Amino acid sequence: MSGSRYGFAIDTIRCVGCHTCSIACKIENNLPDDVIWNRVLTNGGASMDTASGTFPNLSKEYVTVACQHCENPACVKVCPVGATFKDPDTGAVRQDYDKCIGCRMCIAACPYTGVRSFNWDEPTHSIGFAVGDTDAPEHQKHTVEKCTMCWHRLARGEEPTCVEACLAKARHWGDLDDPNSEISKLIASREYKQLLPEEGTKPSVYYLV
Amino acid sequence: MSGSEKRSNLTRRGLLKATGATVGAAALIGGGVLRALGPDEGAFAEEPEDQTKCRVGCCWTCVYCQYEAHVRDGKIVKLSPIEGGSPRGSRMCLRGRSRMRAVYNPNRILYPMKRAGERGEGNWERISWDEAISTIASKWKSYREEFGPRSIAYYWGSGNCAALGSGNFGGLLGRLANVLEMTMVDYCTDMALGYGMARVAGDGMFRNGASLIGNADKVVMWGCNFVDAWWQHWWPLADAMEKGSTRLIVVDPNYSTTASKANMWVSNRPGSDPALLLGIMNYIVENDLHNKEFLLNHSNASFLIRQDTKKILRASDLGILSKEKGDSSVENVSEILDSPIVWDEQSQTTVAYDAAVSPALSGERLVHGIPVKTAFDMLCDELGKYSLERTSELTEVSVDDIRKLAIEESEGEIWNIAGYASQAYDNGAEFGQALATLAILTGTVGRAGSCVGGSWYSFNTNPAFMAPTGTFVNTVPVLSMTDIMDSGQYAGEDYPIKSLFVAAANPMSSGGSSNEILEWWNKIDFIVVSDLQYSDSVKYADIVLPCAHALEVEDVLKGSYYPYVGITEKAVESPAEAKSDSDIARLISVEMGVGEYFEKTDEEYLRELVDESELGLERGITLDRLRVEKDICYDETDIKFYGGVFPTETGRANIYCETVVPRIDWGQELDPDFGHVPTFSLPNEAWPRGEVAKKYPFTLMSHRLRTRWHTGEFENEWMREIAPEPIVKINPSDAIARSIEDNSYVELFNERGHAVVRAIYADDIRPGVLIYPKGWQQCEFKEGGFSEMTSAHCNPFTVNTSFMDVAADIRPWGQGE
Repeated sequence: MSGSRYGFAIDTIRCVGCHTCSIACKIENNLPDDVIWNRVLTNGGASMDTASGTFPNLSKEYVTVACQHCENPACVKVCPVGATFKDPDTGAVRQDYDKCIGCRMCIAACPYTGVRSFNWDEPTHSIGFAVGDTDAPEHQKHTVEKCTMCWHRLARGEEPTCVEACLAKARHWGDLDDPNSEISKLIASREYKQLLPEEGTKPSVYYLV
Repeated sequence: MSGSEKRSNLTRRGLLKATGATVGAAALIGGGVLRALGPDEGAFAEEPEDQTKCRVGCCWTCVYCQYEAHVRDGKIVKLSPIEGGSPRGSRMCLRGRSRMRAVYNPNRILYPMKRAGERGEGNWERISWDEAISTIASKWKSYREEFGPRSIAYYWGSGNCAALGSGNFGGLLGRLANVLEMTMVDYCTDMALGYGMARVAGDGMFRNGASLIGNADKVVMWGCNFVDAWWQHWWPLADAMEKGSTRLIVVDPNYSTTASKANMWVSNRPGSDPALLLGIMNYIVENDLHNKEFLLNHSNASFLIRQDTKKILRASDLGILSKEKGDSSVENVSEILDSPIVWDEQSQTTVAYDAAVSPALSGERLVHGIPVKTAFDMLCDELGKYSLERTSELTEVSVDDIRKLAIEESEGEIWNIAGYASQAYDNGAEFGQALATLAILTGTVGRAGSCVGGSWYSFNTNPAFMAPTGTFVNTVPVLSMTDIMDSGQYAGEDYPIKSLFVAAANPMSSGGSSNEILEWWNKIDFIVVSDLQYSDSVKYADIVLPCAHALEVEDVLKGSYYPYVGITEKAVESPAEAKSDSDIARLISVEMGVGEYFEKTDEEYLRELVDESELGLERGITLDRLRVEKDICYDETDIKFYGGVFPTETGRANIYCETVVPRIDWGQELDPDFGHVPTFSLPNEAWPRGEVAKKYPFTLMSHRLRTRWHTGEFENEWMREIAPEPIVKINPSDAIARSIEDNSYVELFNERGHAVVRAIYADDIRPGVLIYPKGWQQCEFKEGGFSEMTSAHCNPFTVNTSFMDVAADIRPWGQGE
């Protein structure tokens, strides 16, 4: 498993925007109040769950967006302290909260607005105690956070929570460098799109269409 | 929670060291286990030392998913899928994932309370369980003495439908209601579909097991937003569609998410589904596409119907006695008593239906001077009124699309799935009856690839548990409560109701026309509500009892959308003074003097319910096995009405229903000629050319809110991050015509009430329709609430709440944001 380049393939034909992946991530990682790392965006009308077009000629698609774990991450380039780094073992773009000084340059540099959250205050948890896994990273005031690719789960041989959670079985994760992995086969055989490819960050998330 | 709190003895420095990308290194720090990736990784982790795991399940009536509860420091910290997958094949949704929020809700009801002030004021005084139970018992005893046992009413919903839960009239509270001969208030919800289909099939009809859906050439969904409401079943259909074996057709006024996944979507006028089905059936018959073999062998299509009485022509009408009466000289007579008669083409004579060699599907004639025609003829007489043009006019579906649908419905293997939308109009039973008839007409039922109906399974627990004294509740429909409380009468008799007990339910929010409910509610002397949260119903109680959360009780998942019966284990203790439904029943039973019927433990009752049920005995399913195996399948075949056999008099489906009875009979006046064959009646008020539409031109309908199960667990803050407030979706063309801006506050209103909510522009909504997510409580609105506007209109046959059959209007709300 060393030197893998993990990525996601998300099947937009199957995705129904249920938000289970969002919530599974939130709980697994004990996210603070009002923080969601994996958002469900509606590719349709202006509001969530609305379609584009004029009745009855309509279309609607759900696109779940978290950190794209880019191959050429803009965030890593701009981080003045090296808190954001690309993990050579997994390909995940990770965040070291202890190093992070909260300058938020990464948020400015990242073309995928919204995938990073910033804890302006001491993180609060309305449930009153820590949920999720004990080995999920703790949250700190004045640091930037985002999807960790659940590396704490990868470390024990499990897949990211959002992949396991998906009701539609629309989420796939695996080694993009392994041609025999399920994800590589999906990308080879299915049409897909990526978000903002023109930005040049080479995202590791493929949206099957 | 402070960021410096340690959860696993890992300091920040320690964590930093461990996160170094050192291949092959293992680090064990403090009480946690953290390993960098090594070359031989692959083993799944065990629970950390300070954490335990148990198998639990949702006890609502969506899917009853089973999953794991992880408990650390006595708290449920995670609810996660079963390793290796759930035997049921479902993955729990965001509600199941976040379900512990209701356990730890800071506003959770923890102590018995009594009202201090007027009803609905919201002033409460904490009391002891002793005081609560003795108050209840003393009041009930005096009511019973003066007014009889029926003066105590019991209202249940679907809040907890595990075996010992009070939902769906179960558990020890249900047993208590039977022992005390209470009045049971039937919640008149989602009943029209099954009732209408039962006219055809003898019972409600349901789809096959979800894993079989790939056997269908096509799935046709009627008023069913499958991927939102039953999303755990979406993946097998998605698989089948991906493989190309199965196409999806959706009939829905709006472009639901399910419609967005469909190969074909037909938008029809809300409430016109029965007409659409009749038009489809007419086309099928006129073009000779009906399945004659199925009709002749699996339905009563060939039965002769007396035109004078509208009853089935039977042996006794011809002076023939059945074999059972000992007349062995009579040939060709069926074993069943007073057999239905058909015309046999071959012998050119009347014969018992199951003795005919070639029964006639059609034909009017005189038999012994009695004018008769076949049941099929009776059906066709009605169908003939629904030409493509007339159907198009009624349904607002193009002639082309109706024809396309009809051809689709006549070819190949078909799953016709009904949701609960089409049945929520005054003509809801007609929808059920028409859909069932269509399946019989085309023979698309009883095979892996063909079925029709809604979704439900029930592991029927031992019915003896419910009635240890052989006494029972008396049922009254909630839709009759206004009349009952006004007149003091029901079914022609004095019927005083003095007390109401509510468990696993929220009638004030989930019922029809909440202002009307409040009126009859306030005529009841003494009201007790058992709940975990301050729902709209709790708000108007006199005594509130804190009930346990299902995660705090060992129980059995008996209902489902899969043929599985499973365990739900006790994950944590109930906090403070919350008590399980069973314990509440026990306490009341002792004070009421019937404690001897409630003395056993939960474990003993579960054995009685499961081990001693018919299925339990037949298949050796026991509580002990459930505790070990966790989930047990009891129907591997999973095909409904296998081979086209139905629970009717003859084992055949009734395309002509001889005896039409109301769902609940209180002696109401009924049209004796109605309901023999599927028909189309107009909705009660949601119809553009009706009287009500002149004042309230919109059809106001609801959809499921993804973050709630009905009104359950409404204070889940994680869910509120996703859906923070009540909304209504409106087509922009309608909004602009009323000067309503996107995302602005509006007032929805009709003569029954109003609600102030945020309006969302949505092109997916059919013009003339407004749609809201159901489940919001009054306290969450700026003003009013959705349930004020729903209707308590009662169709005398169906006796069901027509939640979608609602007319309303909308206007901007003056106060800005």
